[in-house]
Amino acid sequence: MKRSANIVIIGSGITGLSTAYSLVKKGMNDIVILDRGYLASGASTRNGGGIRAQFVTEENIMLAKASIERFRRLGVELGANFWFRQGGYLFAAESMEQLDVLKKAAEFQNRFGLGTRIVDCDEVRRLIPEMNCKSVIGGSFRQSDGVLFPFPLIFGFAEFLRENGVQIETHCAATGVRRGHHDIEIETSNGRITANLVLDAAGGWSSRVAAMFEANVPTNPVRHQIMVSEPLKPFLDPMVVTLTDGFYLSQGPRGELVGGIADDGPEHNDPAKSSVRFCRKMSGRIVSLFPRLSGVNMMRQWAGFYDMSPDANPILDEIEGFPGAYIACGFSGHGFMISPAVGEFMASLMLGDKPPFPREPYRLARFAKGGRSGEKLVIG
Amino acid sequence: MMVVDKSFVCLCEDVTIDELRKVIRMGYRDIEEIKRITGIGTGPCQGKQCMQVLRQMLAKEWGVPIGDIPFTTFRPPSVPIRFGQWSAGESGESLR
Repeated sequence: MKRSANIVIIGSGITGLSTAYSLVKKGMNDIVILDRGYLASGASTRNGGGIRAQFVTEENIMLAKASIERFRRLGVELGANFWFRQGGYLFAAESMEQLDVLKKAAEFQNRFGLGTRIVDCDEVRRLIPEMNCKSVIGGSFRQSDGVLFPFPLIFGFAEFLRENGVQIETHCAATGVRRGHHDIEIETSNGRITANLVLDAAGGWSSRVAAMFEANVPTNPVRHQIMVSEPLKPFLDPMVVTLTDGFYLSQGPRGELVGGIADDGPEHNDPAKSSVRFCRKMSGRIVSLFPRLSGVNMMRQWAGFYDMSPDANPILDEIEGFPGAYIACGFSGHGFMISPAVGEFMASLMLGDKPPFPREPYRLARFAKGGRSGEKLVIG
Repeated sequence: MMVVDKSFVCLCEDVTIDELRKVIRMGYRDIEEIKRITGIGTGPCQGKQCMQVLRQMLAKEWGVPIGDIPFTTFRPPSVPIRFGQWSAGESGESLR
């Protein structure tokens, strides 16, 4: 490992990789990315690949809308096929209250030109003929939302970065930081490295990393579970989401069904532990919404973290009192889908350029001032 | 023994010896990374056939005993289980 670099990024997840990509595009290449585990070993290699702009805060909508546009071109730029498919997202309502929530959400989203439509039962049936619409009374649908396959995007980023001189040091944990004379010294499990600029992009571990910079970051890793089925012939074009229980289900590029459901329990935050309760809950919901899937096998189930911030909106900021240190965290389950815009935002911020979005809503200091209205559409 | 490079290691996901060698040469050292790049071990058998071969390849590549090469994390269920079977244990409510 190099002993000094212009920029060190802590965390090789999608946020770190995407920021490094934007930095390279701006002419930087003296960059080292550190990860305590293997490449993108946190939430980025555990997520369901959902890409949507249907949110209820301006903060998330702006980042998501810009990111979807970027995903459309990114595959060609990276030379990586990550199977981005804009089959839409259907938020299904199972009560009048839920439909009201979705109507208000759609109205808000359409102020930003998202083109979200409120759909009735008949249209839900037309969009997803296999779904049993007994409990579903309607929903909101946006065609430009979709899914992608996370791994080829991760490895596409990594290869692009390596070809452009960026070093990715896996199994190398940052263990401490110190202010140098003109730079920042980072202790790692593989020796010391100094840098002019440092980014904390450590996902579920970001508040712990921030503590090394003497910053109190109120994010909290919360475990969520997910599962995958055996591959099936394509039948499910949109991602289906229900508000009742945070259920989501989509069909991936290999034909496999990927989805999750809200679940909590005694094993709470240990990502190594899976729960039978989750499998039962998820399967019960799949069978009730898609009776024909009763004979389909669940292949595998696993867990990962949502790095929750108090308002479920991200924190994209410099770390006050520690010149040269930056943080991008608190993505609350949406980090993957907004990563292209976040990368551009952070790269601009770190190089002293004007970021593409206003800074105030993403600042860490907002929580001390009482916070902003929070994101309600957190699924899973 | 002569090994044909186009031999399949993972029969479920069509991963060949060639493909695995390429990924290893690219510098991916962690078995979890190799699983995610190639898809090895993620098919219907869930790695029961292929993982030992991959571990052996990695051991040879790095000149270490096979015991030093970890398995990927095994995920439940250990055999595929149908959605209908999972949910049958629930009360009737979830099957409404």
